[in-house]
Amino acid sequence: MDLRTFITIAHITGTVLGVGATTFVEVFYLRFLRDGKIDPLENDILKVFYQIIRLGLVILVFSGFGYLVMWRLNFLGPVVFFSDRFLAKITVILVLLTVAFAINFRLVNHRVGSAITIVSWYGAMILGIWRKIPYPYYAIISVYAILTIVAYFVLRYLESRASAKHK
Amino acid sequence: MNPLFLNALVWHIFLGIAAIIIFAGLPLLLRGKKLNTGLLKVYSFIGFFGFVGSWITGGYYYSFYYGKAIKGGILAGTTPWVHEILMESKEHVFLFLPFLAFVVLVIVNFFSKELVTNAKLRMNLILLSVAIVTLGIVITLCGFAISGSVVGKH
Repeated sequence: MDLRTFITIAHITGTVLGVGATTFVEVFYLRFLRDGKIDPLENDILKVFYQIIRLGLVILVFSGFGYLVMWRLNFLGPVVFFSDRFLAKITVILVLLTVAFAINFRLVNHRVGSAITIVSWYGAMILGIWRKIPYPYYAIISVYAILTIVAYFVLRYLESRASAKHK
Repeated sequence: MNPLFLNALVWHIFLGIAAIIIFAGLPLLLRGKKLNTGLLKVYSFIGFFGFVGSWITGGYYYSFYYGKAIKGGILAGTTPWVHEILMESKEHVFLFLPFLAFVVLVIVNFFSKELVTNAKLRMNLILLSVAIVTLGIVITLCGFAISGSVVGKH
């Protein structure tokens, strides 16, 4: 197996773990809310998902730097490094890292953190796959911001619906 | 680029990123009710030696390769500010990191009992780790821009 294949496998693995665990942590959180509370066992289950998200993030960051080293060694230069897609992806990952930290220290509430996390993970995945995305940086980031706001209200609706079943 | 410079560049990036990730994990260990001082010591060692290793390999690459083979190309290219501002900032700000990491290493290893009992010390150590991670990320972003400005084979 050559280095590029190894880095690609690692990058996809990190993304799969992150996107998958982020999705399921929300699904399970909403299911657990049906009785109106998160009991200790449910909390432990959610913690496992959060650990998987962290693992995915670390793998994603390391493998991402693997790509960077390869680009640098192949002298791909500004065409790749300063491309709108790459700059947007870096922005999304930085937001993801900041929010992950803020969630751990309870600096943002759960719903805001979840909305940003889920949109960021899916955003990073889409930007990774859609290599010839034709839109400029500001357009990509604007869509990302709008989707985050939409996700916040969707999560709020789903949480209130889940809690209503309990009442 | 010969294998020595190639290794220096790769290890500079790898060790730097490893150290940043370790220092991002340190506050998570510090905020718990039960402090795992053993793991904290391991983190602080890896983080410190990661930065020192990144410093040495990066310094070697910068001194013996970058200045001769890369710098001129960036200055002659479309983004000379990448060297003039970002690289100059990076090489100076990077000087702080091993020393800040050393402070964390000393506190974690020689004041571990105080860390358990003194919440204020713990909070200050969390803030110091956050500062290290923030500086590390800023330097990393400068590194992106520098790598992105290198064009053509050297």
